[in-house]
Amino acid sequence: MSATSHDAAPARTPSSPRPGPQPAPRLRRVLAHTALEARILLSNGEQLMVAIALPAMVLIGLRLLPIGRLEGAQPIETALAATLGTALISTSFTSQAIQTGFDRRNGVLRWVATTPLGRDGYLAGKILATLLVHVVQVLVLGLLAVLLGWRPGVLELLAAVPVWLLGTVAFGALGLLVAGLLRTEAVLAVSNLVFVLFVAAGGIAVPTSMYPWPLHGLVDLLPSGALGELLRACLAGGVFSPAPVVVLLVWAIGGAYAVSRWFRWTSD
Amino acid sequence: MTDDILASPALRADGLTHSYGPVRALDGLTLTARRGEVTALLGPNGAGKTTAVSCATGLLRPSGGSLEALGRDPWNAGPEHRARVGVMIQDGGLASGSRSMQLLRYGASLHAHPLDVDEVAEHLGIDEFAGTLVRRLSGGQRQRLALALAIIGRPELVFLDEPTAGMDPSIRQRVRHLVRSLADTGSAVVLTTHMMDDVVGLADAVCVIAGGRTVAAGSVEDVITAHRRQKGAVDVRAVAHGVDPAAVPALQADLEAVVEKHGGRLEITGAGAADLEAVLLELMDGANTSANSSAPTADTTTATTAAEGRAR
Repeated sequence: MSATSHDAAPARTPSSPRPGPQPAPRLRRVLAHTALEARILLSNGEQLMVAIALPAMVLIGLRLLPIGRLEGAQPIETALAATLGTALISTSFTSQAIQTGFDRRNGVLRWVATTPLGRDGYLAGKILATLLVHVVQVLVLGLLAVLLGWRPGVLELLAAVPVWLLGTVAFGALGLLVAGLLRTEAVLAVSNLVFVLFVAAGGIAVPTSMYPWPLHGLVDLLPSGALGELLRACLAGGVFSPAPVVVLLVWAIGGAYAVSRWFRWTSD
Repeated sequence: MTDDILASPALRADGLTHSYGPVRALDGLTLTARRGEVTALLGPNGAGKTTAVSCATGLLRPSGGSLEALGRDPWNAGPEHRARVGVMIQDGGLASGSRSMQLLRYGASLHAHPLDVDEVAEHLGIDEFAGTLVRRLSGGQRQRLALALAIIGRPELVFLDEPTAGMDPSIRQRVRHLVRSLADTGSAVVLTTHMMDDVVGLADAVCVIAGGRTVAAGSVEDVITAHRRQKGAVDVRAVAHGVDPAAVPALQADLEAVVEKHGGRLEITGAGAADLEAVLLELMDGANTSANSSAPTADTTTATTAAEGRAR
């Protein structure tokens, strides 16, 4: 580049007409942020590992090993229910907690709050990006499950949609809470540890009914236990009960309230 | 915009206070920034500069005093107001997992009438690291990207926190041109900096902050002159043209004699850091290379000889 080309002001001179600064329409701002978040999530190798590769390993493992199977259900059905629960928690909770934690440390949340996007637009874009990544996860993992013998029914898939949305809100809120309360290093450790606990011992891989008393009752009250039960009810012919819906709803509402109350936008 | 709006300050803070627990960060700060001017906030670390900018950009709610940015209370301002204000925060605020141009295009998409992204990228040299992940950028590259994001929406009021920190001299000069052109096209620019060169060569007005209070404000010259006067100093600046370099010591002796006659003391300094930097930049840009790099004749040397005397 020549020095001369840099000496002029960019795209604006005193004589040129100057449109007043205005924000882009709200939907465009939110969608722009959704696209940015989704691209960051899907272009990061570590994030892809957590979002796709790890749940795929869970699917193959549970398909082959006799863990968490329900009477009357195909092994691939219980395996897929556990896998989708794993995928949902990995993206809504772990990935979002880590990404938001780093955004907070790097001052991104401060900067965003000064732009036309604002804090509410940032959160809306983040939620939409999470849902978008979930769609990719469901498509990839569903295709893998089909290759492993899964034959999906339309009704059971439709029944899983509200569960999926409710789970996204509950775990997304918990992820933001961790990101907004803890130091970045602690966010990294806590979100990964809790993820493993949720999946391995929190009612995702193994149905809560298989836990010995008194763990059974405790796991039922976890968001992961409720999510696991609901996904098994939808996808693996499990028994539908309103109790897990109430539990997940309480976690979603309580989590959202806690975020609005205690989330810190800066690392100060 | 009406003439009244144009004439009113873009930023006005009066008696601003803010505390972090028991620590009082702002203690009655007064600050004014006008359209078409660059206003520099100066002060040591912990003086309250960043807190003042945080309040002015709506990130913090002041606990007392009055504050107006473009006629609005920034704390309660919506997206329409935020579109009129550009902010470059000290810690960058850049998403580390995104790529440079991707982030700049994203920033532009938040505005209805942004500047041309490619043109801004070329102007600030961002096109040189367009596809690089933000977390792999150097400090100076991050600064440039953050600056581009601050101005991309054609803001009327711009806050730049240490805009030239970590930049090499040629980029710093480019950034100064950009900041100057922003002010020249009517924007109010508020910058915090530790670099005196930024202030002397760029700012129209200075606000010196210490302990959360304004200790001096006005034009750069006014503030410097007033400060030295307080210390009993008088500035004498002289530029001699067509003088034989051999005669400079004699001139200096004459000046000393005059000052001594009045019971003062004379300090003579040569060209300042800003002048030296400008010469270096000119050399790097290859401008007038032959004239500057050739052996100095008496005429070229004396033409750039400047003596700044300070009598005490």
